[in-house]
Parts: sequence; C-alpha cells; structure tokens
Amino acid sequence: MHGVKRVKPSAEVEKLRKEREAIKIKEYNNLVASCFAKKTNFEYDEGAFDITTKILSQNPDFYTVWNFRRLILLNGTFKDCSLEEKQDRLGSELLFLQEIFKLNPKSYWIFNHRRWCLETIPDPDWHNELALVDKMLDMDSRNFHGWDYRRYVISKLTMHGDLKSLIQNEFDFTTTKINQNFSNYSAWHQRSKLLPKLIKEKNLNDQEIKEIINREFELVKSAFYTDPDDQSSWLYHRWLIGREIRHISILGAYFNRKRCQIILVFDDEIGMLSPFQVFCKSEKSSTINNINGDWQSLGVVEGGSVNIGDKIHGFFWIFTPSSQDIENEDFTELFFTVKPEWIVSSNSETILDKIIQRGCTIKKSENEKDILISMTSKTVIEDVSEQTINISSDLIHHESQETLPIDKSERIALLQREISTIRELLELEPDSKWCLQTLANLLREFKRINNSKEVKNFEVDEIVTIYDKLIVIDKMRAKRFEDLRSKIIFENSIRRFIQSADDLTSEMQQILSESSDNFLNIFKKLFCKPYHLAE
Amino acid sequence: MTSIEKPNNLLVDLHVKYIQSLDTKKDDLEYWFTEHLRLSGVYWGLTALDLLKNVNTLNREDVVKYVVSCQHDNGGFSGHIGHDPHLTHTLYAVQILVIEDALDSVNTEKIVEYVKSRQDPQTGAFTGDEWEEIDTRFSYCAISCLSLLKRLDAIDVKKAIEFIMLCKNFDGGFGNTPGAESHAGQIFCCVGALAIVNSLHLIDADLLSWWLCERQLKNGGLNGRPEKLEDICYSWWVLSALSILGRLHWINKEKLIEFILAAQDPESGGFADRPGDMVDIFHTLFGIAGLSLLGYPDLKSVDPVYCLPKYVVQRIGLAEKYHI
Ligand SMILES: [Zn+2]
Repeated sequence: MHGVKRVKPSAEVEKLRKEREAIKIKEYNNLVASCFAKKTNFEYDEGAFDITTKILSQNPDFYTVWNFRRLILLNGTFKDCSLEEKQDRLGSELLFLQEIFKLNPKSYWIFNHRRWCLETIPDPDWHNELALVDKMLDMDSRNFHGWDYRRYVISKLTMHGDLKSLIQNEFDFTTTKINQNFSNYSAWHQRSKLLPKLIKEKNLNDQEIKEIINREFELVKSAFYTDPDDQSSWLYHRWLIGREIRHISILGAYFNRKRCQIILVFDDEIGMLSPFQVFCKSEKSSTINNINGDWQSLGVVEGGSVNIGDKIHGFFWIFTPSSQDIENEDFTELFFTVKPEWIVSSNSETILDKIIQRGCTIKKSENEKDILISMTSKTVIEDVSEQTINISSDLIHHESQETLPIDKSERIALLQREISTIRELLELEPDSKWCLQTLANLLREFKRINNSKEVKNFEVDEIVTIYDKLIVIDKMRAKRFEDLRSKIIFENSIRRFIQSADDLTSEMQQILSESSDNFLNIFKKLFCKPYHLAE
Repeated sequence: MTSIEKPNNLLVDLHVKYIQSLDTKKDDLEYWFTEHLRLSGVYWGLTALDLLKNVNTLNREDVVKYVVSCQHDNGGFSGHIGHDPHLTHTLYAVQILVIEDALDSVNTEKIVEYVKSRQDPQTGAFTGDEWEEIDTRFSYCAISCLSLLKRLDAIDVKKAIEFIMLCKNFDGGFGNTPGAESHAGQIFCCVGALAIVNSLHLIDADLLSWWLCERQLKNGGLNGRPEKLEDICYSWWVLSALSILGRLHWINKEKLIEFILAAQDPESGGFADRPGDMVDIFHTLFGIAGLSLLGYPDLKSVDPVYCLPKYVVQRIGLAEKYHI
C-alpha cells in the first residue's frame, strides 16, 4: 500500500465498516466465483464479459480477469464479426480503460490491456494515443508508465511514419518538459536517448554537431544556475562530457621463485570476479595442469586503509599456490590466463579488451639471485576449463552507440572549458555539493585523459581538497568521498612508481629482494606514505 | 508525533503477530481484492518470519500444500489457486519451496520448461506470461528461479544478458525495457541477475553506486528515482544493489535504520512504505530485509541477490559470487 495514512478507527467505526464491507465482499466474491466458473467451462459469452467489467472496475490489478476478458473477445465476440464491429468493440474497450485509468494511473495491467487492444484493433489511431499520453504527462510529468507508454506509441508511429521528424519532435518535447521544470529527470533521461539518434539521423557535419552539443551545455548550464542543488542536470552534464575509453594493459608479470608466487602489475585498478587461471607443465609429463591457489591484490579498502585481499580493486595481483600444488615442484613451465569477463573495473570506459596469456620457462637455476622471472606473452595455451560465459566486450560498450561523437582533442577542450565554467559557478555557490563533485569529476577525467608521463601533483592536491570539503558538506555520503579521496591518492602514488621506474623488472626485483620484510609492509612503505599537499 | 508513534527499536513479537494475523482478515474487502497476491504474500511473510528467527510460525505442511496447489499443467505458478500462471509467481513459489526445503514436492522439470518457454530466442528477453509483457523484472525472475533450481543451462544466458544490457542508461542504471528510465527496482533486478550469471563486469559500478547513494534523502529514507518520495521498499532495492556492488557504506546506515524503524506500526506490527502510513506485508519484508542487510542485531542475514535468508542460499550450495 503506498501513501495511505495510518488511521486507528474506534471499535465502533470498525464494526460499522465491517458491516458495510460484508455486503460488498459477498457481492464481489459472487462475481469472482461466477467469473471463474465461466472461465473453467470456456464460456466466452457476453455474460462473462459483463462480469469481468464489474470485477475490473473495482479491482484493476486482478490480472487473471484481464486475461479472461481477452479470451472472451478473441474466442467469443470476434468470431464471425465484421471489421467494423471489431473496431467499434475495441474502441469502447479503450474508453473503458480510460475510465478505470482515472482511478488507478499506476496499474501495469491497464497499460498491458491497452497495448493489446491497440495491437488487435483493425485501425489503431496512434495519434490519439499520443494526445492521450500528452495529457497523462501533463498531469504527472514523472509517471514512468506514461513515459514508457509514450516511447511505445512513438515506436508504433515510427513504423508507419517519418522517423526524422518524430525524433526531432520528441527531442523538442523533452525541451518543453525541461523548460517547465528543470528537475524533470525523466525528460533528461529521454533526452540522453534522443540526442545521439538526432545527430545520427540528421547526418550533421562536424561543425553542426559541435553546435548542437554546445546548445546542450548551454541548457544544462542554465539549469544548474537556476538550481545548483538539483541532481538531474548535473547527472546529464556528466553524461554529456562522457569519458574516453581506456584499455587496461598488463605492465609486467613475474614469477618470484623464492616465494613461489606470481605477481601481475596492471596499468589500472581492477577487481577480480573470477580467479585468473594458472597452469604448469611438469618435467615428467607433457600435460598441462591447473594449479590451485589464492589471488590477492593490494588496494585501498573501505575507510581508506591500504590492504591486501581477494576482494579489493588493485594494480598488483599476487598468486600464491596452495601448498599441495607446489610440493611437486618439478614444473618446467608456468602460465596464466586473464579473460575480460573475469575482471571488473570501476567504470565501463576502462576495459580489458582481449585475453591476456603469459608464461615462462623455469630452469633449475644455479643463480639464486634470479628470484624474479619475467613471464612473457609468447606462450599461448589452450583453455583448460571453460566455466564462465563468454560475452563479447562490445556489450560493455553498448553505451557507446548512445554516446556523443566527441573525439579526444574535443573532449580535452570541453573539459577545460567546463572546468572553468564550474569554477565560476563555485565562486557564487562555494558550498554546492553537486558543483564541487562535478569539478572533482572533471579534474579526475582531465587527469585521466591526459595520462601524461609526469603526473602533476597540484591537480591531485586540488581534487583531494575538494573531497575533504565534500566529506564535511555531504555527511550522508561522507564514506563515498573518503573512498574517492583514498583512491586518487593511492592511484597517484602507484602510477608515479610505475611511471618513474625505468625498468619495472629491476624495480620489482629490488622490492622483493628485501626478503626480511613482507609484501604488504614493503608496498605500504612505497605507496601509503601519509599524503601531504604539495610543498 | 510522540515517540510511541515512531518506534526506535525492532518490534519482533508484534511483527510475528502481524504476519500471523494476515490470514484472519477475511472480513476486510482488501483481503479479497488482493487475492492475486496470496502466493507472493506467503513468500513475503515467510521470508520475513525466517529473518526474524520465527520461520516455524507458519505451518510448513500447509505452506507447501498451498504452493503445490498453485502450480499449473504448463509448470508455471499462479498468484493464487485457480488464477493464471505467471513468471513472477513462479519465482515466489520456488523461493518458498527453497526456504521450506521442499522442492521435491513439485515437478521441478516442469518449472524449468515453463521458465524456458518464457524466453524470446531472438532478443533474449523474458515475457511474464503468454500475453507477452516484457520487462527486466522477468529476466531476474527467470535467472533467479533457474539458478535456485541449478538449471541455468536451460536458457540462453548470453542472450538474456544482452537484453539486460540494452536496458542500461546514461546514469549507469537500468530500466524495465530498452529506452526506459532507471528505477531502483529494475536496478535490483538487473544487478541481481548479472551477479547470478557472473557478469558484474558489465556494470559501471562507480557510476551506478553514485546514483544509488544519491537516493538517500535528508530524513534517512531512500527514494527509487531522483526527486521522488522515500519508501521502505526502495531502501531494499537500493541497498541490495549497493551491497552486491560492494558499496553499502556509501549511504548513511544509522539514518536509514532510524527511518525504517520509524515506519513500524507500534500497535499492530508490520512496516509501512514510510512512517505514519498503513502497513502491508510487502513493505514488512523489505523493512526487515533492509535492516538485516544493514547489520541490525537479532536478525538472520539476508542474501542481497536472492532476497532469501543467507543460510538458505548456502544450504542449497549456491556460492556467494558477488561483492565486487
Ligand atoms: Zn514501496
């Protein structure tokens, strides 16, 4: 029950109500009983039809009765009836629906039946439906049944009409709705679907595309200048800017002989959904065997502490075989496989687009110092076990069909422009949480897109300062900002380590040769120095 | 409002009594108007009781017998005896039978057949029944149901995922059909379904979790879409999705617990959509499940993907493969 105030009537009132309802219950239950009797006996006659009318007028959520009503029409009424009669009959059905819709504007079943009527009626009037849905959205501009129904009607009109003008028409409709109320999220959403289509349909040249996108930025700008606390326009703004797709690659893979561990270094943080597979070849047999063990990563966890664990997003992933599997240590070759569907990045624009397979040969080494053996991509082996579902990576990018055609240099220019726009607004609204987090997002994206060799500390400083402020301003979501803050600090120091290392292998060699210390401590020392803003 | 009207602790005994009393309200018209929700009501009530550590309040034999009587020749279940079969009710039936450890009392092969027949081989979408309404809710029902029956092999999982992904939006959320606006209920369905089929990598976790945690309003409650009112049922859908995505801490738990507790009826038990409203069994389950997910004491843990007590999911040997 939604939005019905709780009342505790007196015993007397309760008694009266129950007496009154007793009669109604009896009538209603009699109707239901005769309806089901007819249904069981396949009696598709007008008597049955009238009963369904009576029941549904009182209780439009009784889906079985709707189903029966359709069966009566199909198997009774429409047998031997002319097209005109069918048209009339379904016409009055539509009127009936309009009546009960007034009592219950959020019933799925009423919309389902309406769609069925229109798909069954010989000559559907989709323009009338469009006018109807206009009214519906005038009454409640966020009714998602209304918006769903509108998209449905438009798709029907599109089938027999001029597609281009309809997309423009619908786009203009969202403009009207947004101008009536900037916080109509449903309209912004609809716009995000229409804008890419509109650009495609109109076959615009680069300059025209630029203009149309700039007009969007003007519209959002006037929205968040009107009400900087309204999230709709800010979320749309995030989408307008978009994000550049980045491919995850592996920077290094090593086998640490002393610890018998595999260490992977990626150029972005990833989480593991399904364990990467490790295999070996032994001296005795030529078969390839699976090695079991644990994968752990190094990363920041809730609350910003750096930790090692199996459910953490990290740049480093370390595999320790289970003890039984390393006991027969006579393997001569070692491999691992990472598939795109086994990893998860924190956003869909950072992706692994191909399978990573690497391996190395392990010789009985006389040189103890060679604790680290690089695993190279030369070896490709057959997949041993196939448990996960293989999903093409373009699925992840389904969204890309729905993003705007903005190339990298344009996006950089856009980011620079928007960063200064938001900074201006921030002068007026220094404590606007949406303004602040948008600026942090833009700066992060700017940093990410540039991905320059020298990571500029002052950019990180500014982002950290914004998150510090947000933690105070938006207490409800402080933990999210704490996470984002730790993440950017950690990411920054790791990136600096990776980028400044001339030779990652020798750098790793050095870390690992300090055998007295354990992994976590070494990594902590390296990456988790308390963060100070630039000196 | 006085503090008595806004409870600040969990009224376990009252809720048990409230759920017990539901089948004694035959002199209310509402009881008869909601007959099509009888089977789902049993699922909501039974799950709530189990989380409240009172699963035996409902007689197991009666419950199983009733569920069995809702199965049809085509394998599907209806909302009540004699009503028409539907995919959502089929999931409710399987959930109840899993809680009662009574799957052997029905023909599960028939259920698998029914669920399988609901998939459109072209698009991968699922229809609710033969009248062909399409909705990502039904994708969840099918995937959850077959996963509980360990028969995901019966459907085209890849196609099912492809359809769900067509419903993804600019905010990282999901709608009921391609093109439809993001909605917390649909997000729960899509994230849950993707979790079951090991495909959480397709989700934009940071973006979606951001949208989800912005659902929390000043009063601590959560809404289901921007600029809408808070509601207990949305708190469950938002929370479960955040929990699956490993970001439950992105909302303020204390404030939400306060809000959920305040939505209890301090006299007759049960939870309403928000404080001061009429209670119902649907919101009662989602209030309790939400509290369980938030770590409220004295409740059994709930599984965010299946919306079943965790021990039940473990008992049938389903691995916890989410929390990224
Ligand atoms: Zn609700």
